[in-house]
Amino acid sequence: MKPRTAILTLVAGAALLTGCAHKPGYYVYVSNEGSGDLTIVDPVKLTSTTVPIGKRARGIHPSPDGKLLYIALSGSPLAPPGTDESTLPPPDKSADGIGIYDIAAGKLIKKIPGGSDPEQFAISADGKTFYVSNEDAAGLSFIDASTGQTLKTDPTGREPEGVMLSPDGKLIFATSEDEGTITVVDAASQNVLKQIKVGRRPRGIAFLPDGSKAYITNENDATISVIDVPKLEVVQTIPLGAGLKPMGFAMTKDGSKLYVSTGRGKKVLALDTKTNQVTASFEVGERPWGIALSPDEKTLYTANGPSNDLSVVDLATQTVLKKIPTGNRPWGVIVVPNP
Amino acid sequence: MRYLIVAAALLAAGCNQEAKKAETKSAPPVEYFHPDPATAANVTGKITYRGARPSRKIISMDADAKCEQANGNKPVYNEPILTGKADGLANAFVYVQSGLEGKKFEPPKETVLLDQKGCMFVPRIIGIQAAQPLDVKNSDNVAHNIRPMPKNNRQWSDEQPPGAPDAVHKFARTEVMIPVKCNVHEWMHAWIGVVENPYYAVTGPDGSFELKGLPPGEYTVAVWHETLGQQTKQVHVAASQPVAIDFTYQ
Repeated sequence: MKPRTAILTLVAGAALLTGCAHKPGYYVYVSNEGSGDLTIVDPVKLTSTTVPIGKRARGIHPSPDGKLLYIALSGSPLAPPGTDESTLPPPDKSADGIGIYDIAAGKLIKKIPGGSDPEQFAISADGKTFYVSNEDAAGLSFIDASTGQTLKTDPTGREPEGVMLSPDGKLIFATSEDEGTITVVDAASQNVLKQIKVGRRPRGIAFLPDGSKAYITNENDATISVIDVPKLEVVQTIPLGAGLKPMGFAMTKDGSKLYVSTGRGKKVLALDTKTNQVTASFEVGERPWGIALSPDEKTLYTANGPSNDLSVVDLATQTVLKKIPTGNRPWGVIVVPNP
Repeated sequence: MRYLIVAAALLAAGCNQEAKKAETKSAPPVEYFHPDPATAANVTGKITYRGARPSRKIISMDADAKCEQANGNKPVYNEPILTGKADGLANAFVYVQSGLEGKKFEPPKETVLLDQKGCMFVPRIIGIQAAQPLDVKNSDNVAHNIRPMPKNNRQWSDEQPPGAPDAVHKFARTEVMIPVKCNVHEWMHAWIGVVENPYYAVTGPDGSFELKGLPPGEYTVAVWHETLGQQTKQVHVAASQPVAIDFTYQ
């Protein structure tokens, strides 16, 4: 064998071995609001691929069995900054819905109706019902996950946004940006139980794993409201500091630590849920919104809207290891273990 | 052979360019309608409100001290139903809803101003022609983030810190009305009426309006109010004959 052939053979063999050995335990999925696509990140190679998914992709969640991704799609995309809006086509309501992406097949297999302009949603424990915030309807819609039929819409106040199911699957919390409230809905009866006043422009919701408390980000107050779930009352408001715009949450599995993205504040905060004190603060990128933890909780991923990238943050050193390109205006991030 | 292929490709590319040029050239110019001043007439009238006056409510701006300061720490009221002399209803948007189909009106080049002043939108109700520029200004010493919520036009939002340059936007299509909010101050609301002709008006404190220079024809004139809803009336405009119509909300 000639030396050049030997080297090539070795390289090819190494590549083959690397390829065979490489099987990440999970992938990171990013919904891109601007480009209407889905970025899939390999957390080992730190590379990404982006596939088309629909228009204005925002809320993103895995199915309970982890085989599908559900993505809120909307035909009412924002006009890109600097464009002459009078040259753009009108909104396309036919593009509204919940897109269903098959992970194994690597493609969008279906889109079901999800009410008008769906933005964020949660999924029932049995995977049969979507709980969708519909801005136009100022309500929380119960959608049959197989047919897309709207079963009921409960009023939430203007501009509903965040939706979250309690860990026991019994309560649904939905925020109203305009009213500064949380609407609490009984999942079984689909009836509103209570509206709880929180701070201005509430966005994200996180429950402790035992369901005893819920945390709400109040973007315009730079605070987090803590709700006692059995009492359905705000028991504490945590100030975060001027200039921070708390948005999304990621909680550790044991519930001891809550990470909070701060939008234009550029930082992620770590909150100790026993003391409700901020224990760490570190800059991650431009306007981080959606955030997610790796399964080993050593790495945090943040979607940075204006810079079109995903920050990979090493939590031990609180440093950004890499910024991985995404589609335009990344919005939500989830981590889904591979089977 | 290779040269032949290259030459053919260049020829094809050249042809495509020519085709594109021809396509551009062949686009017919837009013919705008100009009413004949000799026969056009004005439609005038008054919007009256005879219902109960809701008590005006103080807007709480205590979430932002700079907004309170911008108003000299004096109370600011939310007054969706604002009446003046002889029950005239202010802030009603009057427009020609139908009767001008097939006529294209040139969008004015002049901008329509929507200011953010004292942590309120000023004015609260505006009318604009489709494709006419809207000038969004921040006169406050506080950041605003304007967000119209159209259904027939593209959504956009603009964060404007103090001293930020004005932002200019256009709406492509008719939409009555587009709600507007500020993402930072939840009490700030305005409405924009987008129409494709110049025949619209927003009533002042006396409730009066004037639609100038309508060509003779049959029209539906509509009036919209943010809490009282919409009313319409059929109007016949004869050549050079001014018409008066009134609307009353109870």
